[in-house]
Amino acid sequence: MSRARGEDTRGVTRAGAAAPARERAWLVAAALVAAAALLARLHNAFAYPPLHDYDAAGHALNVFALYQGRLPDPHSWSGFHPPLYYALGALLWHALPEAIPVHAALRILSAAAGFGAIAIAWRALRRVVSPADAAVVAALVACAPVVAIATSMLGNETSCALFTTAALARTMRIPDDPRAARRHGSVSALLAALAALSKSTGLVALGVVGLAYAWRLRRAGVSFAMRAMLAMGGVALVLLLPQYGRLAIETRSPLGVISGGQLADQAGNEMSVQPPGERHLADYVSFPVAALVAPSKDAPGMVQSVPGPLYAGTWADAQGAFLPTQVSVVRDAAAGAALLGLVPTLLAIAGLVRILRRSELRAVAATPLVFAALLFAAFLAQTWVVPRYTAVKASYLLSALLPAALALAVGVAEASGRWRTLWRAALLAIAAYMTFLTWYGWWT
Amino acid sequence: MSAFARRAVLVLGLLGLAACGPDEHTPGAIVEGYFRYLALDPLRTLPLLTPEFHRRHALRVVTQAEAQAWVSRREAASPAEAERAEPELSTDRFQLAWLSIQGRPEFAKRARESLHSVLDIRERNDEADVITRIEPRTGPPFEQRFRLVREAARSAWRIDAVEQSGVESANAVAAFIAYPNENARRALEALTQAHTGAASSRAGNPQPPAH
Repeated sequence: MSRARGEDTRGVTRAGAAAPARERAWLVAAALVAAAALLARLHNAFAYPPLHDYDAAGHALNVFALYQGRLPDPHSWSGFHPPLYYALGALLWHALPEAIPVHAALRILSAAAGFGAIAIAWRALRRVVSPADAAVVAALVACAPVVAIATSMLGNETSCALFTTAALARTMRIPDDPRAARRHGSVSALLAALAALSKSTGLVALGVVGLAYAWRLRRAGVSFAMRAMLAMGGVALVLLLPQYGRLAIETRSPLGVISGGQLADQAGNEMSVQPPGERHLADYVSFPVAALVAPSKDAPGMVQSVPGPLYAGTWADAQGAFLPTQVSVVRDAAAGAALLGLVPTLLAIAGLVRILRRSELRAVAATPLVFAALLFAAFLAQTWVVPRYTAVKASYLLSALLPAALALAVGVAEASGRWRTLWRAALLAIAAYMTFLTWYGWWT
Repeated sequence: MSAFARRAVLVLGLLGLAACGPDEHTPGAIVEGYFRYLALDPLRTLPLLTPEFHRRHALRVVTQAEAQAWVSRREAASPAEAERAEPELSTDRFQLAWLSIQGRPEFAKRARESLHSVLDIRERNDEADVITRIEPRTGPPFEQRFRLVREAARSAWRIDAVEQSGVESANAVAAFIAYPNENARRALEALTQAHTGAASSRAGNPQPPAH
């Protein structure tokens, strides 16, 4: 029987040193924080005003099209998006009672997908770090404002993140036996294809997952590897060709698969009047202090920076789409979250360095990290092509939830003794604070 | 069949029934649904409305490029041709605006302030009229008449057009909330500008005339 690779890496992160009872206490504390986050999402689904979500009306019309039993028109406002999230939303619309508003049901669907992704990430983290570290990091990820806000809104980001995370997690345990790996790969390809059927970002996941299996099967012979790739590609093709083929034909443009045929800026929509209007290389290295003390696009230097709004959008609400940042108490609370975000950010950077330096960790985390690097590169390219502040939205990177959690988990697990206890406590306290921050309406 | 399979079939059957079950049938129920969902559950208003309804309310979302092209064409056209200078837009642009306007928190708050009652329902073949009376929290009541149509005897009624009577400046906001449309939006805009202009004049700060 083959054994999944990565199974024995826990030892390298010094897990399991603490007494079992103390470890269980961390698990309980993390579970309580995660439960509070889940409760907050349910509250937000109903409390957040209808259709305030990012691109809400466009997403809503896609759901309505599927509710009526037809695919969204690719030439309509948001009709280029793949249909999986909307199809699930339309089913909910049919099935749920009238007491639940449709937009709330769609938000609950987002929350379910987001928490599904976090649960998968938690299981994957347990292969690398101790259960307590994995639980603490998963709880923090569930509460990070970028995740909290995305899972409080309707939209296809979260379903894409769910299937991407599921596919990437499987690449962390590809069986050594080639035949088992081929079967394993078909399921992973199916999951990655479902990600691409949720949002075009999933195409990146599909490519990376395919490469991971090709790399693993390279020693099994070219013919065997080709057959395995064909099987994986076949699964993806059956699912994706109707959607992406239709888009390519109808829009007659390769861009049709991601934006309906033209980039947002060229469409001349409201984005085209947003600052900064032009990007310079300096924008990619500038990090305004405002990102920490006034995490809003309106703060000085923010729209000219890419890392600043990205950071502020991860740990607060840089775009002000969810939190009313014109309210001073909210502004102050968001600044607190942005400052606290330094702790997990620095721990994740330390963890990433550690992963890159240690071959055992590198071997386990390679595919998720390659995916994260490609997604980040695509994100940077988009910010260059569309030089508007709304293009620097941290939730575009939501599908990289697993690699980010891996880096953070290794950062925590590598600390020893009191430091490790301190980081765990700090992360749970930060998570609890961020759940409070993103509980819609606390300021009223 | 195992117990699990039986339960799965039962759940799927119930879901299927829910999916295929008939919507509310009568014109009165459709209009009640309109008021019930407006601003609170905006998506559920969509199946109640025909595409023509959306073109009639005329609220729409356009790109900046489309707006600029439209303005250029209007400037070049004679007054008689100006209306025709407006671009042909697909129905989704009107639906987007219909949903977006209901997403404004102030809209939802105001929508809960008015009371409505059905005065009369007239049904003939595949057309129906439902006349309602709306009583705003402030301002006089007004009437809102819904014209509904259906494609055949067994198909669903849908709202095709809305007309209001008895609307004046004191209830203009409530009238817009009860039936958001472009004409009412422009009228409100003019009212606001007139009000702002009057306030500014009193403060010795005259405003340019509204266009």
